[in-house]
Amino acid sequence: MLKEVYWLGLKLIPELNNRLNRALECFGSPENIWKASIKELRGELGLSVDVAEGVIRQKNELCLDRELDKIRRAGVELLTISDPSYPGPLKEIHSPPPVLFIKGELIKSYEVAVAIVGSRKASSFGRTLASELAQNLSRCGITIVSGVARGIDSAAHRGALKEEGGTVGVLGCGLDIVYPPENKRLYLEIAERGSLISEQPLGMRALPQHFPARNRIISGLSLGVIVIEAPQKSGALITADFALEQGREVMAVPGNVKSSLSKGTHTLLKQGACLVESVDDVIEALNLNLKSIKGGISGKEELLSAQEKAVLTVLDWEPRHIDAIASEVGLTASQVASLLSVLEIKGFVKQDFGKRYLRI
Amino acid sequence: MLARIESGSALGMEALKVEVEVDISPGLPTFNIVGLPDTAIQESKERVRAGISNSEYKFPLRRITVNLAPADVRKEGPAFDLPIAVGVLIATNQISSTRVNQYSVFGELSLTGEVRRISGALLMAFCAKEGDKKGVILPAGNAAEAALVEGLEIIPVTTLREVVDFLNETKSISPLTGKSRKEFASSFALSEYEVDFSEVKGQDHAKRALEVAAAGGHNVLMIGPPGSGKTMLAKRMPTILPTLNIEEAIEVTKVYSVAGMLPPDTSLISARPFRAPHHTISNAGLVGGGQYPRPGEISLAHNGILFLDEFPEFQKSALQVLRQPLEDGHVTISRALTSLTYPAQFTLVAAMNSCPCGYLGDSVKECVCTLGKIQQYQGKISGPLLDRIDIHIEIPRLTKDELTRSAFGETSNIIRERVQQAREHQRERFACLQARTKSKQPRRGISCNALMRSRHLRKFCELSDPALRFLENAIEKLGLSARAYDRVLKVSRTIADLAGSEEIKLEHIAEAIQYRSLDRRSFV
Repeated sequence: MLKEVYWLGLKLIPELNNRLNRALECFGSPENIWKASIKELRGELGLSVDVAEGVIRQKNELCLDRELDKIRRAGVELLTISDPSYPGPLKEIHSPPPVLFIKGELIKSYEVAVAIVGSRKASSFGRTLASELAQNLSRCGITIVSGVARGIDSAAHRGALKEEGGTVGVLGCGLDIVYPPENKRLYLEIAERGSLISEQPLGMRALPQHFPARNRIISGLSLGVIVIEAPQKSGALITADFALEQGREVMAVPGNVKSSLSKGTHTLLKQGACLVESVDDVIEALNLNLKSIKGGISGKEELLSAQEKAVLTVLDWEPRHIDAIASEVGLTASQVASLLSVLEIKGFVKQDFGKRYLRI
Repeated sequence: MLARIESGSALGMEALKVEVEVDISPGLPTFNIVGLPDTAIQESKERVRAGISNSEYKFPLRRITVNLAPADVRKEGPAFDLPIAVGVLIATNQISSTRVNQYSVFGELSLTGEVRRISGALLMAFCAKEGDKKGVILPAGNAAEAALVEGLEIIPVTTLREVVDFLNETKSISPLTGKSRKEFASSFALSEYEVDFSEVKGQDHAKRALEVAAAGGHNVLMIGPPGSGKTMLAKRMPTILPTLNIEEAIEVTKVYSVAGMLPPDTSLISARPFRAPHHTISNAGLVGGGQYPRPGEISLAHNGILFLDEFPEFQKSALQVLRQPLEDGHVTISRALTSLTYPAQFTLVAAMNSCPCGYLGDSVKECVCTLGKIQQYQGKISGPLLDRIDIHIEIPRLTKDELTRSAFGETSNIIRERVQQAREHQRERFACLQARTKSKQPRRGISCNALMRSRHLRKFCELSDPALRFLENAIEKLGLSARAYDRVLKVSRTIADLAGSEEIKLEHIAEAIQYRSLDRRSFV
């Protein structure tokens, strides 16, 4: 029998899964753990009688071949820490995940991966920025790592998918669980053109305690972590903490001074995080030997009509309400509504909450 | 002796002709009413007995049997008091029976013999007219509404004594003759509203959206923080709808007559109704029903505005029962014995906060809700219901500075002019539909853009190539849902109508896209 089968078995028994690193130290190999008797389990791991019996019972109920077959059919691969293709940077961190579930093409060079994380409740400004930054980094050949959550994470993945660089989504649940549900399409795209990674077995729901653990993988896979929009208590800051522990570069994008979404990022900046305005800053901070690419995704202004240009001139990065724009340009509500739609489709402006527009 | 009086009972929006037969025969003194009477009718025995005695007539101490024919339909309400009393008096020869055949009689009696106002008088008057009666004898309080029935002689009475004297031809009561439609239409001054759109400062975008909604009959959902003026805007919505025509006004008046909510001395409701039920309302209160079925708020809002503030706070089932009427324009209440239909062609104006705390997207105050809470809150409005709301607008709270700076807007009259023009375009366009379908099964024609179905959309909303490309682009780029496609088409049709354009241009589509806030994938 293949060795990885035992890994799978261990992942599927929660009591053992929780003590995996310790058990490895005691028993040496997964095979030994799997084949351990009640007495050995109790003696080495300090399990109580009930727990140890439970473990043995679950072990007997599991048919490992069938489980392996199940994940193969789902298109998922097992990657153990002893595998040569196991990502190098991740191996170096404290308590690396001994086994990973992977869906999609394994990206060979994890050396140039950068994580982009941030608030789930991001503003439209933040999402645009995340997407733009990810796209430009991706264009330089950098892999974008993130957590496929709402807000900044999703925007970063979407941005990266627009280019060839590849992207890695690290999940806090089993690879067959789509969380958040609206990201179903994004899941498929990442699996198709990048890879989805999780340390949780198939079928595992997204539990709150999984997310900090996931965050250590996000930072562990990357050379640096870029934080965009994080309120004071944010999962993104946890990722940044892990990054510091793991010796990764922490970078942050500043935001509106008055917004609560900037509190976390600004705290990071005060503590000495690297300030990121563009791809250049990232490349410089990470000492990468790459050619910088000037990001310019906006369309050409020359193609706009006079009225469209007039509307564009009164806009800035600070969101303004549609009525305010109308009164400044001197057009009717109807005309401005129409023009802003056109500008948005052409990619010059972006709509924020409450019918407020900003220029991008 | 036997007496026969014609009366009526309201049954949904129709009146049922009811024959009141009173038989008095020798025997022990009893008083029985048969023919499926409800409690109010059973109790009318006491009112009739006291009313007759107190009007100084003789109440016979014999065996009295009253039959309400047809005997298999349930009848309700106190309107049979007067015909029963008149029947008893005729059967005891206290009134001559010569004149009563020409009239339909209804009214409630008080113990003193006074005649009280009833509900549904307008329907019964229409029923009397159809039954070829010369006129109706009815409570003076109902005279004004019954005067809507053209060419019907209306005898308003205040006491039982007056009725007796009139029937005995000892006293003449000058009849109110129903006015002709033309007379009403001419006296139909522009309806007066207490509010006007010009009182709303700023909010030009929202006002424009409401103008579009009024022009196309589209339902609206307003999203914004507390205090942003959602209620203020909604209250002014009826003022920019086209004025009611006489047929519509009569329909509205009928509903209010059935509900017993017609203000005294009002013959015709000429202003579009505005109903704003509280979110704790029951299903029956909203769509109609109850032990004795009554029209609900959606019917009281017929041809007008139904405003539902705090939309997600309404009971889930109440929102679900709204769906069918929104589609059909009427509501059918089915019971074991009867099934009643009330009209409910209203424009829905709903308002909600953007999140439970209300401040998501506010420029000053930060929202404190968690993402899950926001999604749960917005998820309370089901997709199928959202499907029936064409226009979503976000209403921001204006800062004090913005409020003082912004000017007062146009008056309702100016906006209504434009709305009426746009409606005129729609009527012309849809005229062909009515003509064609008349011969086949009675399919209702459509009067405004909001009622277009997908086959109409294909026919009337053809897009030029650039416009179509733009729309597809927009759906792709903004992450609009598939259901947004039809809605955007409908609304852009209305915007084109407002602009007097037969063709839907790119700019119309572009504007329509602005009114689909909730469809954006990135709203949360």
